[in-house]
Amino acid sequence: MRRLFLLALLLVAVQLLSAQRVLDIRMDVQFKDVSLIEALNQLIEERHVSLSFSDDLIPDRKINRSFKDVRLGVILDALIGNAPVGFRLRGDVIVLYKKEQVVAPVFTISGFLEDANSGERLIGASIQDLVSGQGTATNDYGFFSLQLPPGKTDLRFTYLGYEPRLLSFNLDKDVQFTLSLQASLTLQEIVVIAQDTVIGNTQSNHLLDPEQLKDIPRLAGEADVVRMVYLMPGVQTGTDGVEGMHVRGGSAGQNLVLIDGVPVYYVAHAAGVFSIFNADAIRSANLIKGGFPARYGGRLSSVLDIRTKEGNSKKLVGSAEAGLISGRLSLEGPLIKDRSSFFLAGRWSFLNWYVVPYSRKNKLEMGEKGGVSYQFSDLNAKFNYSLNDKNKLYLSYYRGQDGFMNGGRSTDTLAFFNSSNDLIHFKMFNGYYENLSWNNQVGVLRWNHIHNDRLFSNFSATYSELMVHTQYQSVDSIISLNTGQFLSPFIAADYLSSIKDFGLRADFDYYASNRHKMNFGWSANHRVFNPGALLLDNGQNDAIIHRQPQHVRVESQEFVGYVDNEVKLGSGWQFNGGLHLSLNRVEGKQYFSAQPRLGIYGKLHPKLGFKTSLSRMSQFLHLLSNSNLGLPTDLWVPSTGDIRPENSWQTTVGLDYFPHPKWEVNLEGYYKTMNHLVTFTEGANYLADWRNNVTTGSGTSRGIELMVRRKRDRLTGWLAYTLSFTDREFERINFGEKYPFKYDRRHDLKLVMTYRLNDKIDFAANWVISSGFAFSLPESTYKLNVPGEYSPPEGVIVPSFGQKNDDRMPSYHRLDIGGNYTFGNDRLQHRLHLGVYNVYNRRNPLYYSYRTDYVYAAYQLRQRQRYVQVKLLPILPSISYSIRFL
Amino acid sequence: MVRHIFTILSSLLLLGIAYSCEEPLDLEELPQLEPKLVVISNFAEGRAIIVTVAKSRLIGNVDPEEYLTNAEVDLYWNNTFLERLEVVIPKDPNYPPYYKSWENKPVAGLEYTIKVSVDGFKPVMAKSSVPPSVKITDFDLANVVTEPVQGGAYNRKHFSAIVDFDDPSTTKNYYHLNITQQINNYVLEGRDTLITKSMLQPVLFDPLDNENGISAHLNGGLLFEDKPGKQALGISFSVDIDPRSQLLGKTYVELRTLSREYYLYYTSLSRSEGSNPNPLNDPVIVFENIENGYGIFAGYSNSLDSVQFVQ
Repeated sequence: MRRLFLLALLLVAVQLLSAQRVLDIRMDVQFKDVSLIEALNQLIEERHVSLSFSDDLIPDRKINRSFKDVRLGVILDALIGNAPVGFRLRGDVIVLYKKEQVVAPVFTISGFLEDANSGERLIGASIQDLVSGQGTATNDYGFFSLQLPPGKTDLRFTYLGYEPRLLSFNLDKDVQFTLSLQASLTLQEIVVIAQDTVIGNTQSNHLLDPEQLKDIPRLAGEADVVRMVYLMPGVQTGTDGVEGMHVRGGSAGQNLVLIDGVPVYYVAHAAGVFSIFNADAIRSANLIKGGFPARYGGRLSSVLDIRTKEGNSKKLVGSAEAGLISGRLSLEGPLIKDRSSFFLAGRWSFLNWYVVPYSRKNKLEMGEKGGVSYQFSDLNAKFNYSLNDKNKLYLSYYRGQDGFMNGGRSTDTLAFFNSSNDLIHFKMFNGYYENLSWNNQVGVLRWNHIHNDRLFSNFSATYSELMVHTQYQSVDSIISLNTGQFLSPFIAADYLSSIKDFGLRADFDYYASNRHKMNFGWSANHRVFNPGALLLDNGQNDAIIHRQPQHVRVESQEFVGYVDNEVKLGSGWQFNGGLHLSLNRVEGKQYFSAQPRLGIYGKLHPKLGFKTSLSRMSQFLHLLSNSNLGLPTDLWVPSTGDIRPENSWQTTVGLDYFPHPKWEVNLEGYYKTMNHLVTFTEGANYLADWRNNVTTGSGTSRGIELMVRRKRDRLTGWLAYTLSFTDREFERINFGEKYPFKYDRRHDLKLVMTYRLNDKIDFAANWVISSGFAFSLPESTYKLNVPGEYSPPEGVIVPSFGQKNDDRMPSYHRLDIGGNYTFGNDRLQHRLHLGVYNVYNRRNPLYYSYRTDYVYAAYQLRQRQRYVQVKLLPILPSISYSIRFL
Repeated sequence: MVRHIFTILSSLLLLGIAYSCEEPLDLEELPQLEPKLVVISNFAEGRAIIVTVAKSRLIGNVDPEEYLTNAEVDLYWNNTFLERLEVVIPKDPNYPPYYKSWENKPVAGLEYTIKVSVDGFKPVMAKSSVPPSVKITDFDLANVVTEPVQGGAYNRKHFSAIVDFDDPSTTKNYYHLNITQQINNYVLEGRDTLITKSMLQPVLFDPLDNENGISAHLNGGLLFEDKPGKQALGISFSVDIDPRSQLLGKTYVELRTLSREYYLYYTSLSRSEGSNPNPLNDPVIVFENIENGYGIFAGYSNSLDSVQFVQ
């Protein structure tokens, strides 16, 4: 028995010794860009190592190492690394097994990321731990939070246009810091195209690079972020941008445009040719078309979230720019270094330098005294103050003003002999005055607070206002100097419209773990609508018709609560689930809306991503357009007891393909349904109470968007193509039948290219072509004459249109080119921009119309109607010069 | 003019900020359509059907209206041929030729079909019916206020009237309320007032007062859907008279109960005329129900009442 035991012991010892020898075998082996599974298989096949493992157990990791005269045990340790996998010998076979999970302590790294030169917080910057592969991104205020196990930590910080930065340290406690990134100086690193957010985003969005605004061709030298938005797929506008923004078949009033988180109710100067956004003041701009995060709500079709600069906290810098249309000045700097800074930017139009003298001269030639004037201005101001490491205050303000005036007066005399041969004298006076002015004001006071290294909050008090004032006066008098009798028809109208929006808001970002991030918050808004107050007098001499329609001031309150979850499921899959709840109170009625926001993103392949989303959006206020131009005279009106909120459902499915680091391809399809849409009734009287002149209906939009982008190198740019179908159906339009929406443009193609010759010179060009928009053109006329019925003597000429919006404008296309020459030194930088808008002078029609005149035909004076097409911008060269003090 | 304030301002704003250009459009750039038949008929219960047939004109064509007298105009009821209408050429050249039914007069509740064919044109057809008449149950002038205008040259009589009728509540109904004011010219002979001439003047309503479901008819009266509420309709209107030579006579009211076709045609046409062609707005599409052609074939029935204003 004893012998037997000793024999067994010997066998075990020999076995152990033999096994130990297996792990001690020294070998040379090289693993070249293979997965861990492939590396293990390589050991089996090339080195005849007996390994047993399950594929499910082996982490997906790339191996790129070589070993020379290294023991097998050490090689296996190195290959497995810190993965939860162990190995042991079973006979001659090395068995890999799953280690019991040990709950290791986790520490949190949090803080802010900022620009090294200006101290501006960086939004959407990427932070990744190269050891564990875990990562996160900074929020809208540059804050991040990442939880990692203790030990060696290699953090890599990257942001577009900035030098990446690596930070290595041993993590043994919670860490909080503010890190600076240096703007990139090397050509290859400068990203000069618009680019989408990082992989893993379930939104249909485009992050727009404010620096690129200054590179792409400009209209009249004006860098404009909204014009850049028009170059994105799924976004349409009217001829030369005058009809507002239409995203994925939506109407102009369905876009939530935010400045520093505050809604703006009219974003255009000059009827939409330019936007109110001063390019110098923009820090970031994000356009979201679908897959909306739960924190956004209140509009059906898009969100354009613009954040303005905070101000350089390191030193005083400034810039000035002058173009053909306007001049700009900006100044920023620290008030208390690294603690408080300010930013001021202003823009003033020069248009009156040309318009006033030209119009005066023109009117004089027509026998009138008067003129036309138009001017606009913008002011952006921002101030921030860090109370301490955890608290920061921001105060920002925007004011934009536009004023248009056209006036003139003329006198004339007429003398003739009547049948009695008496000399008859008449004196005539004609005068008119038209004025249209509007202004936007937006203000916000914000408080950033870090509760702990995982919870960040932002509290805001906001105010936004749009006021529109229109005046019109006209008089045509004729006085008989012989008798003193006079005839004096006149008209006077005064129109005021406004919307005021007061809000309180709280937003929280909670980093529960690296796999789970939550955004939640609430808001309350009080809105006051004065949709058009009118005084209208018209008549002749003392026969005055005085009208003062009863425009009802309406107040409403909207309360919102939301929660958004971002859950990383592993293997490159991510789930976004959120809910936006809103309650609107108006005129004693309450509308409640629950809006789910769902999204999934998954990696089908290292180079291929898949995403899908579902969003419901509600809108408690409506934009009633009284022209197709998107003018400020369009009315913002609320949902009322009779008019329900607008709702939409949108679903998207897309693929992201990254064939090469320089190239990216996005393909996305969408389907959107909209109901309870509100618009003016066909033939509505815009001057009466809007409530009795609107109709409700529905619409659908579906399409496919393709974007192919070259992201890096000297030549960058993108090609965007959209195929879309959009319709509308309203109770009191087109007799209740469905019809194509005006922006039912079947094809839409945009090509944008920028070429950087060297650090001083760059060129850019963009070409757009799209199907003409839908409109109605009368095809025939006839005279209405009903036997036995009263009819006016001149008869009624009836235009026959066929189906509504059955005609199409000619295709819209246009080529713009531009170039920049940058020079200077460390203290002063100059930039000269030259460009040509509409290079080949394509005269894209703004609208067709028919004019009526009278001709003598068949021995009778006859009414004749003829078509005209009105076109807007021809070929326009531009030049602008800017200087920046550093 | 009033309704063009926004158009004027919009247009001038555009002109003020940018170079704009208007060019005549070459008609060859537009789709060239063949002329089609234009058929117009409003037919009423118990009256002969009268139809005009004309040729449509392309935009820009200034030729006089071309009425066709060689058409075959056939009337059907439920696919049953009733009769071929005969052409009538009025002696007064100011009135167009028309086709008239001699044997059939529309009956309320029935749907009629008209088919018109002319050599060289695509045949056209249309359907409509005559809704049952709705009787006026009350019509009265509640108040009249006189306002002198133009230094007393005219008196503007502001009437407040009420009209009541039994609007069937179970169906959607369409109406055309016509008010016609009789104005009598007079001379004084001694102590007697001698009426020399009597005129009927349709009361026109201001399109500025249009609302959803209520539109001013371009030739007078109001078009509306159903009676709002159970109360009688209150209507205000004005009539100008020369107090030195004119007296107010009777005020007549006609309530037409309309087919949907009649209502949509005249509502859209009145709103189109009221809004004028404004290129910055979507035009009002005029309803038509002539298949392969243009125009309207629409039935209605009516009831009448009148009241005498006591001077």
